[in-house]
Amino acid sequence: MPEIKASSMEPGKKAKISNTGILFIVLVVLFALFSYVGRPFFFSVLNLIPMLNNLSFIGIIAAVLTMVMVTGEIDFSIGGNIGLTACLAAFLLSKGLPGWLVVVIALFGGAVMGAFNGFLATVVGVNSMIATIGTMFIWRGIGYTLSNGESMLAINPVIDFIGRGFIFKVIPFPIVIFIIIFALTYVVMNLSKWGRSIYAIGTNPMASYLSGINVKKVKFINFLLCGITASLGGLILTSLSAVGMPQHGQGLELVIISGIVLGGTALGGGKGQILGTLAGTLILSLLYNFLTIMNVYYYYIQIVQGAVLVLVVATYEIRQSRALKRV
Amino acid sequence: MSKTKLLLILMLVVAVVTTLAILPGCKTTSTATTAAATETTAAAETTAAATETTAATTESTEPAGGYPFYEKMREAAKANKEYPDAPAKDFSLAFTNIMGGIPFCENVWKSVQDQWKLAGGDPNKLYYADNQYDATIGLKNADIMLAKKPNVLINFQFDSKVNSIIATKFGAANIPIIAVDVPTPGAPFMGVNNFKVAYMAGQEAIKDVEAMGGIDKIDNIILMQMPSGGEVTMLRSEGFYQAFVDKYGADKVDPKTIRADGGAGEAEQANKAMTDVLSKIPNAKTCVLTSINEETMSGIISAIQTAGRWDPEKWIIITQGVDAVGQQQIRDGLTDAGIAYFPEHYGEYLIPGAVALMHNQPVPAFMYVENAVITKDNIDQYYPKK
Repeated sequence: MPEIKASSMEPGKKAKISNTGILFIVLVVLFALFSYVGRPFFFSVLNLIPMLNNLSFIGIIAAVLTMVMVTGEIDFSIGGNIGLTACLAAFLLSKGLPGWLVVVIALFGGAVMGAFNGFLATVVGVNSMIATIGTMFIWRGIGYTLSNGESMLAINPVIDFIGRGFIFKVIPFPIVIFIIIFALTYVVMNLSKWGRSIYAIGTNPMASYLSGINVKKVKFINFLLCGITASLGGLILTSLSAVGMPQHGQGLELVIISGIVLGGTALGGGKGQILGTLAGTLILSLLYNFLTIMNVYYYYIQIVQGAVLVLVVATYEIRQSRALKRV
Repeated sequence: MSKTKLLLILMLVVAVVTTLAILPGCKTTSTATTAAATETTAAAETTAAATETTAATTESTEPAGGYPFYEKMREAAKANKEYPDAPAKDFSLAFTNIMGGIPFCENVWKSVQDQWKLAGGDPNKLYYADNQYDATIGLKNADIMLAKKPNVLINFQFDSKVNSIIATKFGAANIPIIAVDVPTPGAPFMGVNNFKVAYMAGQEAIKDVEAMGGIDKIDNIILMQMPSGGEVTMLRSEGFYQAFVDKYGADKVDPKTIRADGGAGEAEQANKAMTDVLSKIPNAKTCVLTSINEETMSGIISAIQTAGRWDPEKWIIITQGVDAVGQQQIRDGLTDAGIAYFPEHYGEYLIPGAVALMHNQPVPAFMYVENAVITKDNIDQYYPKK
């Protein structure tokens, strides 16, 4: 566990349980409560597996975006990236390209999108929020151009498998990707020098630079990885819907960022945990699933999700300020 | 090399090897797993291909005896009376709404609820989800509804191609579907006869065109379409065009016709699209206009007004639906007429259809709603002022 992160999150000795720990307790309590209240529908394989499947593409993007956000940057173009990737994949399939090649090109496209964001944020020096809001429109616009604004069928065994395939006939493939990406990002963030650099940059970029960390390189590669995973998310969504459409991913950037912030990542950088992101995205997904099962109207679901986000983030801030007072 | 790097490399290698080993097309031998995925593909392909041809294929399967059960339920529904023998008792029904909050959709939902009660259905067994004009949410909701194992799904989802996946999933679970307004492969369709209502709208517009001196006085005929709804939904504006072609001939109509993608049915998207259209025809003053629904028409009219080109005398506007927004547009003189779909009566078709499916009784492949042309002169007859 990086020292910088630990010191910034838990400065007081009395704070025995971390924010991530609390979040997981909340997650378990909610899960138990929803299972009881939402019986017999909520706690069933028929509900939970598709829920995780639908969460997978959000989760994998959230995991890598956490790395970007911990460095103090942000990527709002992920939704546009998803839309463009979906259209690109469907377009290439319609031209008769084999599925595996479409996957490679789509992921390469994601890398280009991520690299462009990284270039704008690190080389040109544009604020990443502004830069990626701009590129979000660009990616989606290209998606609309590619597809003529229409949805295009994207049916191919390889593409189908990415979102709807099963391993050992029971484990959905997207869930496997979800677990792999989370495991990789967890290792990177918590056990590698790269992860320590990410936390250091987020806490104090100047001090990190002076201590020999290549700040621009770390940020650039994070954006690049974020672009690739957003494209992977786009491919999963394309597969889940069997359709490539420019509207895919619209508004998802806010859903994903909400999950990350709920997980304890600070928008200013320097703070954040992959496990927190996992818990945050799971909580939002569970809330939507449970409330829909309970026939709650969408407006109320939005109110509840928003309220939970505000409540949890406010709790973090209160705990943080109390801990600082104790120092 | 550090332990972490080794661990990372090991994890990456495992991930890549696993992916290559299981991805179809990346190996030579087939497995049950890929076969399952291929089956899904085949099903989706078949259903997707069938999307636009459902009409032709199912119409010919009408049983010799007609639809006595459905018709009996329809009688009760039309009369707003309790259905005989409470046929929905002990059954469950799922309804996924295309977009909650829009008057048209709210009217459909209320009508479904009212009729479900009349059919003896338990309100707790009427499951609801809001698709928010978003295919991703639509798919998520479909999965949640599937987990609740309803006896029938009423699917109101905006993208006909995405509906093929929903049809595949529900088909595998043997849960029948009724599609509302946007086709779902293999499912009975309830809603408007898109070509018919568009043609009616075209004929209504032609009356105004004639009153202005004929087609030569018109600069452009603008069709704000919704390609994402599929070909059947496209008929909602192509029928409008056809009415003009039948009257004046393609040689006169084609040069004046502009087709634009007005988005997926929302005002904001249509507003942007109309702004683009206006910039392409800077000198057009007298135009005929139609769009997919009145929500989009609000955005379109707003775009014309913002561009400073609004003159109600010179814009001939016919809308589709006549929901609360459409009624107000007609009353305010923003639009010349609307083709009423009567969403408040949708439940009178959907619930008899759903109940018939619950009892394994045949249902017509098409349950078209009756329509009427609503103008400022007759609007109070159909929608009395409150």
